[in-house]
Amino acid sequence: MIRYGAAEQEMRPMTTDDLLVSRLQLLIIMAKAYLKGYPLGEFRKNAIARNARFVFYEAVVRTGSRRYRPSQNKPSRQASRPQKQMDHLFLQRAQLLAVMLNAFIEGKSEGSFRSRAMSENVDHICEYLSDRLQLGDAQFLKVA
Amino acid sequence: MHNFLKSREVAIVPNVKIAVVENDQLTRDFIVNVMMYSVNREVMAFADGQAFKAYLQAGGTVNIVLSEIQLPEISGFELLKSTRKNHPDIIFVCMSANPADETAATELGADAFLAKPFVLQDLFDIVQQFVVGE
Repeated sequence: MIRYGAAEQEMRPMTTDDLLVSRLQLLIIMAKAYLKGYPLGEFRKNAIARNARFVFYEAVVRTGSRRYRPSQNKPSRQASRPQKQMDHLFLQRAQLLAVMLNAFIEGKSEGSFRSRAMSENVDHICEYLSDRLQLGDAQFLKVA
Repeated sequence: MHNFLKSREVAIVPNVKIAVVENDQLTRDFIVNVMMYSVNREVMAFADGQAFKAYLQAGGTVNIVLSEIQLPEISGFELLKSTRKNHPDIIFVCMSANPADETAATELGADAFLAKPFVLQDLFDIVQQFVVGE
């Protein structure tokens, strides 16, 4: 039997944070595959739309809840203000990526500058996540 | 080794059928989303073991099933036992957040164990192992 997933001592139920990070990683893979011209089919387009929708609304909920709790944004000696701002910016970038990718697959967006903008947004998100997930880890995406 | 695995010669097994049995909707939707994107095919989703068992009993077919162990009514272990008995070619991946389930999954003949919390790469590895050809 092959084993995948968490180490035995770290096993626990999945949380919405686990799912958001994994879905954001999936969105990054989807964006990279799109930019590389990997084949798209109806099911992949459907999967991209569903994933983009989840990430977008989860990011909206999280930034929205912070907006309605202003005390969370108060700088303190312990909490670094740049980190708080980065959190907000990160969620905005995640929303932006969801919108960009959705627009591309719906054919509402095209052009080299928009592709470059999406690529740069992916780079920023990866940098924030310290993401090491590469397209090379999913070679099967080259096949429709 | 399963006949399904022996016969694979192409990059992605043609018309591969994947089923996800998971009672937590957010987790189920995520796995379905990843699998659908990976194989570019419809992926079946079941919220409980009874629905999946009924699907198989009605003559439904599937190549790979990813099933949570802690399901209401019919547990993942019961599904694994009946699948092994009636459909030995189906690849069965057990999912659980409970370390104690791993030993039982091995003894009952699961092909793989997916320990929660898992990450995207784990699902890609499962696709690579069980869906992608040599």
